[in-house]
Amino acid sequence: MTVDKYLKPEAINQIKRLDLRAQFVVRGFMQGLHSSPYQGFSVEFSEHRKYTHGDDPADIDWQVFARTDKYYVKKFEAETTITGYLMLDLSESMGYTRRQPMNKFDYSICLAASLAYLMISQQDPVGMITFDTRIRESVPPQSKRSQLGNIISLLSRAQPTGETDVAHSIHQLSAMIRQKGLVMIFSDLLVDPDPVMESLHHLRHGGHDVILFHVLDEAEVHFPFNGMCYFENPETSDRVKVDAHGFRKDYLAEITRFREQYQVGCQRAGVDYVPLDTSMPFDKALLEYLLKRRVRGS
Amino acid sequence: MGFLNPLMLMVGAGLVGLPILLHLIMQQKPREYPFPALRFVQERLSTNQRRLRVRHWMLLFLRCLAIVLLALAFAMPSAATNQFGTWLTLGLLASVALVSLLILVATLVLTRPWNRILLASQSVILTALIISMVSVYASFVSPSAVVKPGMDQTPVSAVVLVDTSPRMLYELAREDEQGTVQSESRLSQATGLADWLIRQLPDDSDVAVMDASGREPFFSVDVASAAKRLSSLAVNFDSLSLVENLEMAVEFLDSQREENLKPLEIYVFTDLTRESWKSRRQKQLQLRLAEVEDLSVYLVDVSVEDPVNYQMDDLELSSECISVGGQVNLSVRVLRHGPAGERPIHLYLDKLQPGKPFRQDGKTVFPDEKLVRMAAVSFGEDGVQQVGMTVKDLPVGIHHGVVRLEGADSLVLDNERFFTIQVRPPRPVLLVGPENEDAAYRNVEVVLAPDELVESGEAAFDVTNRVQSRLLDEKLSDYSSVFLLDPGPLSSVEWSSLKKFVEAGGGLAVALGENAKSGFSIDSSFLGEEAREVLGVEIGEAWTPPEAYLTVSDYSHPVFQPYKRFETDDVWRDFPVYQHWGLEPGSGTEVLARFSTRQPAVTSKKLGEGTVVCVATPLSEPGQVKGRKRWNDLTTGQWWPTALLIDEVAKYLVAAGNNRLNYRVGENVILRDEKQKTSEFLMYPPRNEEPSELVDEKGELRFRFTETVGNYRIKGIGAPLARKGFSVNSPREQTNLESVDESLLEACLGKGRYKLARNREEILREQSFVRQGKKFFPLLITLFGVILLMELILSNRFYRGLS
Repeated sequence: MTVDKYLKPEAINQIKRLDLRAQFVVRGFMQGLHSSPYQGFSVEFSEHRKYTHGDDPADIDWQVFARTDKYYVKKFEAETTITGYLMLDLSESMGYTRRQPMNKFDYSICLAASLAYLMISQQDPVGMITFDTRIRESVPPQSKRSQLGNIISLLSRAQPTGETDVAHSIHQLSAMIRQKGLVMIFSDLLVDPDPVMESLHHLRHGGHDVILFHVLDEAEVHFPFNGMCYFENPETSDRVKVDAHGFRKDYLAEITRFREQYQVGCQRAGVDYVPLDTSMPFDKALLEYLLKRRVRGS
Repeated sequence: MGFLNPLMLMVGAGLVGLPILLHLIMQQKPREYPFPALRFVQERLSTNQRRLRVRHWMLLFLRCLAIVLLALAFAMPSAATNQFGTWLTLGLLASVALVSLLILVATLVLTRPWNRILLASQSVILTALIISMVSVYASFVSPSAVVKPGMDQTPVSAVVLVDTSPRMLYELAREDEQGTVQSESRLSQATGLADWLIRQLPDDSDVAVMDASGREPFFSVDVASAAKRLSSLAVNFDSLSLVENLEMAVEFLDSQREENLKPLEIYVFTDLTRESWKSRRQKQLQLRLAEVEDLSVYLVDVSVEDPVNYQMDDLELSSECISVGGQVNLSVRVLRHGPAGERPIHLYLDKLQPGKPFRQDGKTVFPDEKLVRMAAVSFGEDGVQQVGMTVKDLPVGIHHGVVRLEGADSLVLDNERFFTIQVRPPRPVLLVGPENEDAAYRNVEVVLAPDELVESGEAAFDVTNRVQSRLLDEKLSDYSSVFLLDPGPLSSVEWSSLKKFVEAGGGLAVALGENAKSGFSIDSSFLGEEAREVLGVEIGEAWTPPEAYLTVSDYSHPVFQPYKRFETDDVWRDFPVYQHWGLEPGSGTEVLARFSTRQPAVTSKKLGEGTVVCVATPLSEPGQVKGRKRWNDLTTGQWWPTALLIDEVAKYLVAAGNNRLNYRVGENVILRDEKQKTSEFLMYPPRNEEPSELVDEKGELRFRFTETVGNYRIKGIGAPLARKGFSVNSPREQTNLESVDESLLEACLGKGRYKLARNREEILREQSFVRQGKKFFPLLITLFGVILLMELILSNRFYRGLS
């Protein structure tokens, strides 16, 4: 039985234990990377690196090429270590899903746990921060095996409740961490983009690499509603009545504009922006991390 | 336009409020969803809300429209057939106006700022549409052309007009239900159908049964009496055109309108022959029908396709009154409509049986027929043959006969032609002219007794010429009439003799001229008491108008009746009169004609048993006159009017003037003849009808009701040898079976103004079509379907996913 099916949220949702979830996701991801043309590759595989002149073309990972349109070769042992910070938004809106097996929060947790698992398995120190209007809890970065248990313990306790202030929390984090590392933020970013961008600049200014995982629910991306609907913001209790069918076009235009705004902003700030929705498989996020890890490590 | 179920309109009006009510107070509760990304919804919300509202309205509008259409459809509206197009146009305009209104409202609601161009253009279009609708309604929708659906059972006022022209006697062999072949005339088919029709008219309907006789219609008391009248309908030989009858029917129904408000219907049972519809009053009928719009006209066609017939044309007689020894040539054209064939033609005359006719057991016993001539005639397909026969050696008296085309025929009516001939001795006429003026009576003699007729023994008059000086030598009582042609002075004895002659029943014609002059004025012998008494006029001065001519004052007078067909005095214009005596008519003197100077020209007076005709200018003016001025040109050139006048005066004087013996149906019969031994007569009409009594009044027997063709035999009461008689035939046009074409029908009735049916089913169908008008139901129900579909599509699109 292949484990790469666990890259899909609906499959991973059947596994209740978070550590196992992380394990399955990462194993599935790895199996996907080590598809048949690369016989002999093992779990010792550490990271990808950009293809340069002199590399064996046989080492080029074509799956990565297919996804990114760039040439990468696989490296099989860790060359560097990188400190990772996983930053999870606890806002109430993160607990939302319309029709997916996992809500944004679960999706983010699963993704965070998988990344933690992956990093720890590569002996990279990894820490965990949760925030709403401010930073709530944190686990300092470590690369010990037991670190995964700490992180998962923190994630298991976390609940999406209340309002959020992403910008403030990022500013807080910037002030907290001294060692340069890779900050991975999981949030739906349903706040005013400008302060967030400002905080990301702050973070970048501290010399950190940043991957912004913009996790939205599938319904928030595709707006699958029809007919007359009342929509209520769980955070603010605002209500509006909408003819969903007629409104879809307008909504999609608006959400695209919103994402593009982050995309452009992040590009300027040198932040990797990864738009996700809860129906997408996890490997996209993991791959993004690996790419960033390689760049950081090289 | 009318509605079968107007209640449905109220129900519809009530129901249409339902979607509005639902829309206003029971709007569908929207589903509630938590949605964190609400801020993106809010960004664009206001535009969407406006669109949403418009969509709601559209949906509401479509639902209301669907209900309105459904209610309208079940209200079963219908319009008069000729108004259907107008109502459709109105409906179309209303739909476009509604759409335009919607666009206008949507523009007002959706566009901010308002699209002024769109608003202005829509307002203009809407206004134009409303104006067009109003003008279409005002111009084309006739409030009187109201169709009340369900009128199938509404009592009607109906006239059932059955064509009873002789053509309807055309028989067609038909196989009945038992398989036996029976001949049925068009009339019997028409009355059969009409009988069925009146029985299926709604209860309490008024029915008037009309034939083509032109008699005023009247409503029968009930259906039974109408049916009885129908069964008694018979052919009218004297029928009027259907156009005149229809006009009367329209007038009748229109006049009844105020008394009862029932729908008006006319059913015309016709064989659709051209002859039935020929009339000078076509235009009047068309206009009248156009006025009475709510009157429905149904033509029930009982015609036969490609009729086959032998048809005898009008019989032509060389003379109907001959002298003993003379002969009569009969000529008739026989036409064949249909395939080739051969038929014998027989000529019969009544046998001389003094006792007959007489009545016995309620029947008339007519004299036996004697076959006199026979001929066999072959016809090609649609051929024509001219047949001539001669009758001669007949004794003095009245002779009745018939020319008959033997053998079977679909229309037997035109297979026989009746005739009556009178044979009598020539009338002795004395022409008295001036001395040594041969020409004086030559003109008159040529007219009264042409040489060739004298030789053949057919001349009606036996003319004797005498100069005036020998007048007293003649025994006047030997003559039936005396002509004084340009007489000179007459002695008192001569006047007395003439007076005595006239009073005893003689006829006297006096044409005054040059010889009556004494110096420049009339001779005194014409001014005496006796002269005035005989002539009936007082003679004044001689008039010399520049160019006068005769103008007829009384065309009904026997002398001038033959001129009636010209109906103009133009015939006299080529025969100017330069001189005439001024006549002052005395009491009892009739002026028959005047000169164009308004002076009397021809007068007539009864004196005792006789008649005197006085002419103010000579009738015998020679071609050349010497030593004096010409009196007139009446006998120069082609002087046929004067010749006719002389002949008519001569006939009038012997009371045998227009003694026409052969008439067409419907004509008034006037028989003049010598005095008989009795003045009371019994007339035996043909076909066993009751004999009627006729009384001789002033030498005339008059009879008006010549409605049946055949020989009419007249016998003196108490004097069986006193015989008279005449014959009546139907004109050949009456049996002309040529079909009418649509253009003629339209000229009579107006385009689309009538419905044509051939049998019961077609009558019922046309009735329902006219009474209920054209129904809008199919159209409305289709529209309803379309609107419902639109509503479904829109609401599905609108509320997709709700379920």
